[in-house]
Amino acid sequence: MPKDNKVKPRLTKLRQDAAKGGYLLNTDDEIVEALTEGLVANQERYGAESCPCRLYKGSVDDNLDIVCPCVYRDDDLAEYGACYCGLYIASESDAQSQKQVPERRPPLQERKQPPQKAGETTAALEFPVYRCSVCGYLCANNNPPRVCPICKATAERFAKFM
Amino acid sequence: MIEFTKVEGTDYGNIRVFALSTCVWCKKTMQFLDNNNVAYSYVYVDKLSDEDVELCLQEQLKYAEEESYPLVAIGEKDCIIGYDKSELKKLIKG
Repeated sequence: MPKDNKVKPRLTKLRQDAAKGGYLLNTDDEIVEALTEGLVANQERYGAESCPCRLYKGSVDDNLDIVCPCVYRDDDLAEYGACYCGLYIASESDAQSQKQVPERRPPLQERKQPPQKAGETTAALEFPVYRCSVCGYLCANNNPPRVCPICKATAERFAKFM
Repeated sequence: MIEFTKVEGTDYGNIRVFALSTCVWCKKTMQFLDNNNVAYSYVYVDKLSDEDVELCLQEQLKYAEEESYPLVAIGEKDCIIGYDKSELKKLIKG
């Protein structure tokens, strides 16, 4: 396990970012600390803070969807009140620790399906529209922003939407 | 050949936990088994070679269609997917 000197500052930053973005970290400190350790460990071994509760397998691209915050977080918060690993919760009353949120990540073959085909819609647009896979932010420009202005996800997590 | 680590305890059938070393729910599941003196074996799938990961995933598929952790395999076909305290309690109450 990574040393405390990396985990503590990461945890402080996680708390700050969550608060800024209007998200809530789990109120169960034991869970949050263990997950932060996992994020730091994954950053060290995979070069990305992939979900500590999911298996990182294959290429960087194959795992972009599970880099924390994962693209499934908002759907899980809406449906279960907590994300899959339990780092984020929707409200304090959702801090449950008896049962894990079920996995909604589709199998690799389904994740690999190409996004919408370039068609009539695209032709009519002056600029392509990019969508942040983490928070859904849309941006009409020749390229996606380097960092999502809403959730701070990096450019590679944007996909062409229209 | 996947190498499982054995934990001694009371036998409730062949219990094998497919886990990730960083997963807090895997930890909770194994803590529950430990606290209740259940005999089981476990493997950290994220610590295996690519070849062994594939073997593990094939084995996991026999129990559950979806890939998620922890997977508590019980005997030949039963399983508990994810940390589920009430299901774990049922397991030890038989």
